[in-house]
Amino acid sequence: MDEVKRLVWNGELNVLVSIDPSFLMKGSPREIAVLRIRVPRETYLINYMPFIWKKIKNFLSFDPLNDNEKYFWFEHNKIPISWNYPVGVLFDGLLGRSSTFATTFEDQLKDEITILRIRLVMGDSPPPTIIPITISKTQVEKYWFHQWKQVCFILNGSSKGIMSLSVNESRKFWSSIITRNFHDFIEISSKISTSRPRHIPIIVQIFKASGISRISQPTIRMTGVNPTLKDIEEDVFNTDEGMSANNCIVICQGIEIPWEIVLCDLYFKLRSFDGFLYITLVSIKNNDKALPEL
Amino acid sequence: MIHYREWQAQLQLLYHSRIFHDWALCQEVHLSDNKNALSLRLKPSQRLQKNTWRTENKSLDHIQLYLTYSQVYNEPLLLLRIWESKCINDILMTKLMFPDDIESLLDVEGKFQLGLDTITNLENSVWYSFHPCDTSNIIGDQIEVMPTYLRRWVSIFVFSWLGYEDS
Repeated sequence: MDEVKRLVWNGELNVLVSIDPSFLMKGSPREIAVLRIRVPRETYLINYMPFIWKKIKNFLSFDPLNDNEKYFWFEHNKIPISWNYPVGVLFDGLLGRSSTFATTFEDQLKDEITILRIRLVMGDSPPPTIIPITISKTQVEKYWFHQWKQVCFILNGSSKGIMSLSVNESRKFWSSIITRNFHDFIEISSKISTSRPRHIPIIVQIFKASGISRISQPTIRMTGVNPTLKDIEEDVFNTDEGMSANNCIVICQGIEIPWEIVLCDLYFKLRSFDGFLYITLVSIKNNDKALPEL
Repeated sequence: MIHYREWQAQLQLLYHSRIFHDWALCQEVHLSDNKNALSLRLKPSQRLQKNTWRTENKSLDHIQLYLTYSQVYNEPLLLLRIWESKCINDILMTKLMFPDDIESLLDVEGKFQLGLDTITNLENSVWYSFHPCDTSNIIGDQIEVMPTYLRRWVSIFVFSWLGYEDS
């Protein structure tokens, strides 16, 4: 299992960040407005804010860190992107939104240039679904730790596992994300986990054929013997959505996952660095795959 | 912890007790159609208005509270948004405010932990949430006091820092 976890941990994406011209002084070199970064799938975009500010600081038309009337966020094709999901989850979601899925996810990927193209923009108010990026250095760490508290509670029924980490362990845990220390991450995350979870921490993003999407965090109780993804179908879909395992594909960590996979295995192998298992469900427009069950 | 059904029953009792209707700060109170959340619009207390002016140099318009249930913690969950009033091009507008240190602004440091989060069942909108993981320890969930669990929760999580005076 550790080999799969290592592959997940080492997964990276090419990210192209373009800087909105409103940030920069007139006459700034064009190349300064485009940054190309290789970013782990298992991190947050805003962990790269200090790097971005450093790259453009000599060309900024104002001081973004001391202007409390301005807000910053990322967009993709003018759609605001939430920084509080792992980068890989954002990528899977954006691909899910744009692809036709007439063929399988892997076939689609072969034909795509896998670059996540985003734009740093600003305004007087953040979009309603975007957590404002603040100047606080601990903002993202606090958010991430709170996610783990939830995960600990969902898995074990109490926060004891995470609350009993020492101060040093908590620091080491967050530091493992920033310094990409797989060993430390596994060592501390395993103290919070249990081999027999009561519930599975899961976040689902759904992309319907109509183009509408939604995110949900269903409560998945571990009942029965080795429940599969198919067994929790009713928890994942709203009955009025007209979506089911027959007309949807599941993407997790950029991979198409069979509905028959055992949920617990999937969780422990492919969960993200904030402890949640993120799955992306995409309607299949071409119903070749949507054969009725016999 | 409080089970969902019990919490839902206590929420309705709380709403019909008119404790919020009679609260001097309360401008609007609304029980959601499916009876699983209460939304409140409050005018800011004088202390909060002064704090905001001192620390942020801004003027508050109103405070929005949303009392709901956390399926993760099986506890009541308090969500909060703060709206400032702002004059832009001679037009008075309200806009959401995100202070640098929300706990200090509300004067709840050391009492409650707050964080910004996107709430999936509120169309992924952004709210401050009062982290609920310690709620049972704070409120006390012995069986003999369970019938007043939500009433005591409101007293601590809402009235203790906003103050309660009859209108």
